[in-house]
Amino acid sequence: MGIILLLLPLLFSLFLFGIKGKTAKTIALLGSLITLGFNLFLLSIWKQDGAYDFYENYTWINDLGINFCIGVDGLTMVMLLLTNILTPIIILSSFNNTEKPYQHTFYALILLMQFGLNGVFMSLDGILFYMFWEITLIPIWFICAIWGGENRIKVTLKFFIYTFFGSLFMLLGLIYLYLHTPDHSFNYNSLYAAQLDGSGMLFVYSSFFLAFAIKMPIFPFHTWQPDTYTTSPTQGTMLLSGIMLKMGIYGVMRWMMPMAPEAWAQIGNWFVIVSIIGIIYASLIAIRQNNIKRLFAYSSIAHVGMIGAGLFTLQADAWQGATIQMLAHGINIVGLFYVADIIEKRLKTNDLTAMGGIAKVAPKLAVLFMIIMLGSVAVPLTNGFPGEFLLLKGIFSFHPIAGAIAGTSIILCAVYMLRVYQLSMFGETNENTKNFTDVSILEFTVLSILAVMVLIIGFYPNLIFDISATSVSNILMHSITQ
Amino acid sequence: MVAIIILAFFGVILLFAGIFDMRKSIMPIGVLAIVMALVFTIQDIDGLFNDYTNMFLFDTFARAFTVVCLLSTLLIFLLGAEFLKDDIHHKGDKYALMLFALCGAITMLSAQNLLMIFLGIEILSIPLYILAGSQKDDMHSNEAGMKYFLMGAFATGILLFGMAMIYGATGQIQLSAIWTNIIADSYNHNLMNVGIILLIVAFCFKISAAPFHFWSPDVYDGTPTLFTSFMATVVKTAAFATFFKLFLTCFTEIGSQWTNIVAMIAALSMILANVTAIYQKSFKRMMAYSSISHAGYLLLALISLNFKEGQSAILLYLSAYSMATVAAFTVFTMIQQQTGRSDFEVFNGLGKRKRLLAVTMTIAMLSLAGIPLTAGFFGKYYLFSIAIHQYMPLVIIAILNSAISIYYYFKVIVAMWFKDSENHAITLETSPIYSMVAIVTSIAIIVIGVLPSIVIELFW
Repeated sequence: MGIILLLLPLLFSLFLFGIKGKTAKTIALLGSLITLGFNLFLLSIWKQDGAYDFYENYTWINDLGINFCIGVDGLTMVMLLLTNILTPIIILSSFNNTEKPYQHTFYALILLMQFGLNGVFMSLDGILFYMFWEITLIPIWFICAIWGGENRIKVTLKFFIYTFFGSLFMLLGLIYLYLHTPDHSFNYNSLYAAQLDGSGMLFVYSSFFLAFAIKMPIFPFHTWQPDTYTTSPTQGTMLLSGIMLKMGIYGVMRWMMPMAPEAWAQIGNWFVIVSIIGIIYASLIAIRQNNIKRLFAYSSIAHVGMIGAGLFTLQADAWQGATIQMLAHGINIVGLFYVADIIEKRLKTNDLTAMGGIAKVAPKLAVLFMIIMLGSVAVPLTNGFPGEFLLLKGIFSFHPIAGAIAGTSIILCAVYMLRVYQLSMFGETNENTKNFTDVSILEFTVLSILAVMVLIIGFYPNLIFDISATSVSNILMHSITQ
Repeated sequence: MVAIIILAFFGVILLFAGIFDMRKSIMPIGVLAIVMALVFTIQDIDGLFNDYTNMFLFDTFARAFTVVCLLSTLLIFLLGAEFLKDDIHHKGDKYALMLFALCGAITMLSAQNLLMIFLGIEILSIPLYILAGSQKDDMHSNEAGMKYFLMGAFATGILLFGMAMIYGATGQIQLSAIWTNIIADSYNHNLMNVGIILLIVAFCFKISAAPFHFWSPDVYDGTPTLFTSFMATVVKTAAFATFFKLFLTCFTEIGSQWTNIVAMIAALSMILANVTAIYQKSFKRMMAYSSISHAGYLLLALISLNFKEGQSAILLYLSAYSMATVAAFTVFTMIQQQTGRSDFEVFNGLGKRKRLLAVTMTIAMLSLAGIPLTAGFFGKYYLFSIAIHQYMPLVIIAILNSAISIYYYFKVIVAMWFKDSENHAITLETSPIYSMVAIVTSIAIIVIGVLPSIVIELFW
């Protein structure tokens, strides 16, 4: 069953590469909706017992111990939902784009990306995971480099080399683990059973950390991120920030922590510290930004830093919080970048100082933006709240001072988010914003779907916890050494 | 063994074909020779030359690499139909020379004896000196031929000197006998050390590893592109496989004495070549540096001192590398012939004008860079995994270099897909043969990338 979910986007993608004409976007939307439908169907027949369901295992390369092994547990299911819900929204959000050349390739690449992402989350074999991890990189690179803005080639190449560099280290870590497995296999359980000594664990742990920290990105590996987010086309940025960075977080939870639990005692603290530095650092920069896309980019670093800090504390609450926060952050950041895109399209600028008074002329946009923004600030009853709360609780019980410092990020987040909202929406209209038209039906649809999700998950977070809680605590149990 | 006879026989036929005005049939005859040789390589008739096994043994190792060489040559021959179209006088000679070079390659691969290795290297090299300088009216080609010949002759001298030292140290030229003497510790240690170092120098010259690589960018650049691709694939494969076989058959026991030197050469090749490649303006020079860096990666297999795993690793790596190189040169040759330029700008906007070629080139570059689902990934993976135990720092250097190499391989992809061509006036025409080779190589790269075991299981 799982394999069908994997193949659906791939088939649609290959089909789209082949066709020409304007039907491409409709087919892409249809394809992603079918995938979503299938994903929901899987959810409905899925046994929530914390074990892997839809488990499939085929021998792929026998000599090297590589199997095609996939399975879905609670954590994976949340990640699949995130991917497959956001992909149709991202595709829909591109419908009002002015005709770009090679439309069908654009959508084909998005669906190829979806294929890779689903694969990353379902893989239960080291090399398979690595392959999907790299497969996602190729389409997103093409999306950003073909349809991106100024300086796109330089920026995207930096992004590619940076992340590729990190993932090669992950490959090294995987090979190292593999060589120590009892049965010479890349299967998740075999890798988990690998017998490593202290320095070996440290090596695996650090090499995985490098790959995941670059992808997320955690300070100080974030330097590729703001440029890439600003330069990429909006849909590319949404894919990157909404789904792709969760690959890093997911990697930490599934692959890094359980594989080398003893290394945590040696350097885990440092990772918490680095992550917390990153939160404060990114928040402070975000406060000073006038470019709205850059500001959201830095806010993303801050939010992800919080998730990272929570994970590295190895607290049960923080891990549960991280899971729901991944989903919430995906929804919020996609919404925020879409708002930025709407404003940029109309005003032809990203500069906050040139905006103002948009709420007067575009009330619908103002309301929807408000809901998504509040979700990002983690106001109670929005989707950001349960995650941030649990993360902070975890960090606090790990170390009160760490918790206190990380806690300031909530305030800082409110500062920069409200500043964006104030500068853009409130105040007097100026020459630029006087003729600002309110959201179109399409934009309204996309934003309200996101806003509704913000509220639903905010009101009833158990919707997500019910799916993920058991599996996440299972994984956490493996990550803690007795 | 039968393969050599077939290749040599058809080589002579091709020489005569030029005289008897059979120019149209030259390429088909060449292809026929390769195909027949391929059949006899896979289905070797044993027992025909059993009296000479102490000189020449066409074992699975030799066969596997012979197949790689033959397949690369086959594709290059097909390209020749277009590339050598206007060459009326020497077409047959050039095909014949490539066939003779192949005989040398097979001799090297099957050699059981130092003298046979030497003989093979010479048979391989001499036709190549001629081919490098075959474009007589082009100064660069002349320069390439001259340089290659002088440097090659020098390296051969060193090789022979090294062999003499080994002979002096052990009193043997038989590979297995040398090994026995080393095991029994009945050899002259000083002579042996000098001999091994001279052999390393000579072979590193042949596989163009730093710091013995200085000839290769000039030679690659000046040589007519068709023969550059022959050099980059067949010569590299044969020379490296022989290097590997010679050292891992004879000198494994005293590995500690030479692996450090080879490790340094490997590190130097990777770093120097990758950093220099970034600054290249010409595609051919870039490919030359890329080939140096791949020699560096391959040396990881040599120092792992593990014959069984190592041979699979280099077989996979060399077939991946050969396929990608042939694919890249296919596209490049076609563009170069019609525009007459070899800088990166010629690729601008190729994605919009010739999709098939651009896709092929993209796959080739991704494979050379080692991205998953292309053959290059498993090549790299295999090499890293056999070297990771003893040579972790070296593997990390290799990884850093893989990341650097993205920069210059992707320069081509960037030019093809993200830049617009400034010169729309030149319409590129694709001949069906080029398209065919492009499709075949792309499919081969992807198939090996998805199912690498087919390459290995074919022979072992």
